[in-house]
Amino acid sequence: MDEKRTCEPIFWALFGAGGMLTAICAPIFILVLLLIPAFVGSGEPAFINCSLLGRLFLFVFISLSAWCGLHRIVHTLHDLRIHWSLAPLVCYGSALLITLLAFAGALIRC
Amino acid sequence: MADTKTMTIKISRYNPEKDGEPHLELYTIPWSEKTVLLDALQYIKDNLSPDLSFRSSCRMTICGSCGVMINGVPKLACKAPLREYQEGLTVEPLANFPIERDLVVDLTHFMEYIQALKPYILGNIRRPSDGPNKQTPEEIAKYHKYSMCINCGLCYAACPQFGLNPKFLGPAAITLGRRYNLDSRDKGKSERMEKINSENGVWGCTLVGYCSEVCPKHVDPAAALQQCKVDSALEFAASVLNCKKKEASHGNKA
Repeated sequence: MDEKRTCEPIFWALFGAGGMLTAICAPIFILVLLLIPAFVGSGEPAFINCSLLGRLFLFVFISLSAWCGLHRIVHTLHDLRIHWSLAPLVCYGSALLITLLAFAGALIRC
Repeated sequence: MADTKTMTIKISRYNPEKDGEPHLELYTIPWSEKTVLLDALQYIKDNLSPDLSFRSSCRMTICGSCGVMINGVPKLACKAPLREYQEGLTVEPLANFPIERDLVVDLTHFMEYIQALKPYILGNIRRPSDGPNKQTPEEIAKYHKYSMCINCGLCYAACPQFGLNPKFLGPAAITLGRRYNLDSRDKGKSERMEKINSENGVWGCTLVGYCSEVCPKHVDPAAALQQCKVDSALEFAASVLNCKKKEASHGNKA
């Protein structure tokens, strides 16, 4: 029996945190960032993208959502019996890239 | 017996010496409101087809021997009243296991995985002369639900991950490991966690949750596995920190 420890806990922790944050925040974001501006026409709320705290929050939200979704894709491919050996590298690599881009975006002042 | 109701059921038959693959055969059996599938199987063996093979023992949801697929759903034959299947009934051997004959499957892997998780008290140095090892109701409540498992294997037949990877330790074995990890009398958690942390341990689970749905004893293996994942993730973090500490201490010595 294979006793080698897997590094899955890292991705599972990011997946779990991302799933929780997305489930709580995504509906609020859709309401605040898309629906209210669309119907009221008041534009994006400045507090989200113009304060450091707001941008850091967006960074956490975007990066963890990416880790969550792409981890799910890795496992769904396994469930569908699509054994693509590069899938973890591509998916987790993409999540890392999105994280870096979101972090860079958070640091750029508006 | 003119008013005896009859029902025709389909049963998967497979004789490895004659058949290339399993096939369904029809049997007409008498039934009443109280008849369960196990009664029907025994009737067929006694009256219609003496060579029908199936496992059974207690007839009362205790031994866990009579697991079969009923219309594609893992169930215990002794807990399946025929009155619930008047629209048709197809009985097949438990999914995800190799078939030995008719409704009998090879449970070797399942038994090996249960043994691998050491489902017994480890590292307790108490002697009989020390008296009973008392536990508070709170200590018992932690693991009591997980101790209800009867090793019927229905959760393995339900688990799509075990179907995809037969090396996956699976719901019942890991749940039993969790049951002993939560026991205040036990000191063997680190031994079990080696298996649980491994490639084919708890991380094979993707929380489909069907194992908990089909469990005839309401053990909720899916919850046990999720708790094991939290344990395993914390151990992983601790092992990374310990590695760094060890490296630092080696560095200081050098």
